[in-house]
Amino acid sequence: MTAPEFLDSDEEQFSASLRTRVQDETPDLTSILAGATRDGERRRFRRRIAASLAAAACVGLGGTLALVIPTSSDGPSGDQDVTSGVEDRTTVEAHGEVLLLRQDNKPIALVGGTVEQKFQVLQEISPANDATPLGLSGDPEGVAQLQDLFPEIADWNGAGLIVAEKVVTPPQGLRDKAPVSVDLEGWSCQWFPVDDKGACTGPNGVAAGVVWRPRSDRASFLDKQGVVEGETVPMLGGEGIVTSDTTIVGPVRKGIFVTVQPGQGTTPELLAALAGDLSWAR
Amino acid sequence: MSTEDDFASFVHGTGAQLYRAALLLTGDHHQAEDLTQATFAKVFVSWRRVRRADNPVAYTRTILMNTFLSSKRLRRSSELTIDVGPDDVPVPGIDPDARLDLLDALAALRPDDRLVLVARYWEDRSVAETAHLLGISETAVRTRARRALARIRPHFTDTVTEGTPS
Repeated sequence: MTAPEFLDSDEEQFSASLRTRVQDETPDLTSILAGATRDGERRRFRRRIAASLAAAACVGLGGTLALVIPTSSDGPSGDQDVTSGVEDRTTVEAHGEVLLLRQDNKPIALVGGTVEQKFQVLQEISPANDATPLGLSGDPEGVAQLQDLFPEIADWNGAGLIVAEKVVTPPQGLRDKAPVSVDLEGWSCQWFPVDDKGACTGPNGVAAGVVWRPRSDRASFLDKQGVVEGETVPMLGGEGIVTSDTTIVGPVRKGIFVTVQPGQGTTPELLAALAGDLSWAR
Repeated sequence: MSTEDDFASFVHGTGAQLYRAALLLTGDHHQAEDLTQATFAKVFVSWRRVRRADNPVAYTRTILMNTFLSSKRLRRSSELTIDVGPDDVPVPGIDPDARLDLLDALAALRPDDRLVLVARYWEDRSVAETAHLLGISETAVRTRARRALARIRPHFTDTVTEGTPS
């Protein structure tokens, strides 16, 4: 953060008023810490599942396979699970489109699509230390088939199986690292995967934003921004559509699309160059 | 110190200031706690990376702001060309002569205008940083700040001399 800029008297008074108003406000930090840890564990667990699925997808799901994935990984820097303090490992076993994840040989999650279209598995995963039963939907034969494949899930955390009403599949592209990268001379980007965005700085300090969003938002995004008829630029292996405020809206891939947005000092040409240099991350 | 203790220490060391920013943004204690908790949950997920950052507190504040933006679904609107209105437009639904608690006056502003004020005058972010955060131009930041201040000025001018409102 840079040094504060000079404020006029109104601004200084307002700044002082803000500080005065909240200086005695004290939150319940114990409760916040407990809630944040609980929610954070849940988020980490889901990311672990997503990483496992991605790794399994790379190998292929045509038969039974087992992958060992360090569960301490949380993005490029490899964060360690703050709650465990040790590097545990998750084993992923795939049957067709269904994955069973084990941690220390204990089943912790079942994810995936269908076994002969007879059942579906909830994407909502129960953490290992959570007694919430796994959700399934489908006919009894399909569920029985699943239990044949993975006998240990019959008594999941002692709670058995429940029937799910809905399957929610998060876009593959929304993971814990930036789905794109930039290698353009004069530009550098700071990525905030947790917020699905990056802040880029270009020549002479110009700024631009890169945001990735679910594909389901694309039509409404374009509609809201207003498209400039006939104006497109090459972007991410497809065409980037230029909107009325010079934002460039990229093509869809793996359930997401990327936008490149103008910031301080950018020109349409600089934005087009940045958009054209974006590449999908591996 | 274990990683867990390290995170807990960070929450206890920074939580109060973060919560105060959240309170200014949301105007409500429960929402502020929720926003603070959601922010720390995101930090928890990436704690190793966050604590290695040059300034973990600044990083966390940015997450708070972004989380607030996301919760208000401002991302898209903040990327649109700013519609700047006249400075003398009164805060909607507020008697211009009424003396208000500053939180209530802030809450009457548009969330994105509120965020500009909090970023500029609570967090002491520069115009450029605030513009970067919101994805708008520096001119838009200055205009929004001036307009928002003009709108709520009648409600806060005495708070410094009068002390903290009850």
